[in-house]
Amino acid sequence: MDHRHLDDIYELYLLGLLPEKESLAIKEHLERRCLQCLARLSEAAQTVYALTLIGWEPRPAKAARGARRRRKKQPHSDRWHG
Amino acid sequence: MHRAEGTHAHERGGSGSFACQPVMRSRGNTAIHGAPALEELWRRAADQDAEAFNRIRRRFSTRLSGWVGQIVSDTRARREIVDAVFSHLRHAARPISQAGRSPEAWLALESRARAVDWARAQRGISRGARARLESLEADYSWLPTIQQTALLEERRPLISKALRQLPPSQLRLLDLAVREGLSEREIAEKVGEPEGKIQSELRAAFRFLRHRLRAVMGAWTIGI
Repeated sequence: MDHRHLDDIYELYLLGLLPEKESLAIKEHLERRCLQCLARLSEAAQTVYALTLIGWEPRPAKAARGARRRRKKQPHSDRWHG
Repeated sequence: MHRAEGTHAHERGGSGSFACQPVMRSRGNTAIHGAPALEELWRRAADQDAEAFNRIRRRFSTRLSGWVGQIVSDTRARREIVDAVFSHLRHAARPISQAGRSPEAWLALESRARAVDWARAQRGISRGARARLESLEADYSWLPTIQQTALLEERRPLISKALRQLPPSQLRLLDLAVREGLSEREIAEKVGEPEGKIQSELRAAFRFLRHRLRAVMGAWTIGI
């Protein structure tokens, strides 16, 4: 089965952000226990988990909050850090 | 980040960033001071051991609160979301353990989904993140394994480096999708760009990260 048309959308599927039509395509594959789809979904889960590790850190201690506030004033793209 | 039970700053009631701290490998090993290692705690939680749940909660609550806090600013709502995640963990721990998968990855995804749904509900838009995870609860074999999440934590600097290689415009799209839970159409409306362009850019960003992550998770790191 050719999965190339689905390859780029598993992350969006996992995040619940995919339009209905594309969601259904993946859902059908998963219901048929498609191993390739399961593997890609697992990979997508790793990617999303990795993003949580990098970008979502606990609130900093009080001393660091000033610096954090200043950093937040920078463009949106600078919020990812590790 | 996994340290011996009782040595986390948040277990002592403190707070602080874990983003740049060195990784200590304690999974599967006996932790110091006679406290059970994390893997043992998860096993006990799968058997509905109340004490294990309490220990896990103490260990992860600050971290979860931090994740949720990136999306939800309301303190009470944040606390309720964290409570709900831990409450649901009681049901999810056993099937996740039986599938040999990582409860930590589940905690991260579940926290994010509940937080995003809460934020969307506040803006009066439909929620779908939690429903998606719910639809996948019958079989957790899609979750990363404990070893994979350990490796991801260990190689966090490489992931961070890969992320910084993305164009700023794509980083922003990732932020809007992952943290704000906006679909491609919603992002297009928000930034005033054609939906096709947003779709192409966002999917390219995920594709780039996927390829980089394959390298990060492999034995080699050349070119990252």
